[in-house]
Amino acid sequence: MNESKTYLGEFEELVLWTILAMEEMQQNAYGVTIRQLLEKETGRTVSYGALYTTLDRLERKRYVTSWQGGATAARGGRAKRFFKVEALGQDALRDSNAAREKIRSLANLDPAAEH
Amino acid sequence: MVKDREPFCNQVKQAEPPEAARALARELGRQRKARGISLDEVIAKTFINKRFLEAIEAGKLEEVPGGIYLRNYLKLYARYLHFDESVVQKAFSSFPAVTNELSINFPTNASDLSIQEVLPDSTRSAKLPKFGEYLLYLFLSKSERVVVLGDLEEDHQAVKLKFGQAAADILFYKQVFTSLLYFILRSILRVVLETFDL
Repeated sequence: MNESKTYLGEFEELVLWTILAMEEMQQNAYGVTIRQLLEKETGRTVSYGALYTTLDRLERKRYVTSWQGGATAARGGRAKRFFKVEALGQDALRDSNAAREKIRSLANLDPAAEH
Repeated sequence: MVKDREPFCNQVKQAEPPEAARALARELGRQRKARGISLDEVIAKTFINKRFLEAIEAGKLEEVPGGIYLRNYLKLYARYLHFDESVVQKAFSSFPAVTNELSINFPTNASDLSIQEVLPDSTRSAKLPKFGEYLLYLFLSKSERVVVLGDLEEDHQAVKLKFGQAAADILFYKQVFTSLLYFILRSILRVVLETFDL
């Protein structure tokens, strides 16, 4: 069952956390909002290309599911695609976090000192 | 001598127009008023009969010739207000959920709209720059295209309201070019995986 286990890429993980967080904050997670929150919290520029190819990959791994809805005038009547994290995705996040914590507790890094 | 006959379009038997179509029709009227566009202007540009337009805006769709005529009027009107024509098609499908989603995000306040949006002709430029849109067409599947372009248009509108058309176009192109690489790489990867049957 676990023969070809793929691990979460760094960006994939960020996107998963973001979608999970939005669920927590009861916001609708779709392209525009995910990108905004991601850019705001991480301070990196995120392109729609990066975001959608990642979401595509996550969906293929069944870590997220999506559904269509919410056409608005601001989008020229085009629909949105909403995303949510599935149980498999939550497991992947937990595994990744657990692995990181284990290794991290062995290393010794002082919290960011004066630069 | 022309015989006095009932026009064909009035003879078309109508099925009861779905509730979503009524809601869409009323919403079109609301949008027109919110943008400060006069009924005469719509008539001049769409050539839709005044009586029918008034009936549409009141949601009284049975007063308009039915079937394909009704849909075409709604499509024309929707297109004039810069909606994607698919909203009309969806209103006639059997999903009542469309009604609620249509009402949620429309700006209800005319002051929410910039001057450029109030004048329909100048909103021609409110559409996404064609060239950028075309580039994305090349590398996205149909359903993805709709969603991605929708997101880009949403951002484009928001930036335009705050910083103007030029800034919105520049940021749009920036997004297109930084995104293209990812989509191209994905297409290449798919071809490679298929070729080598991985």
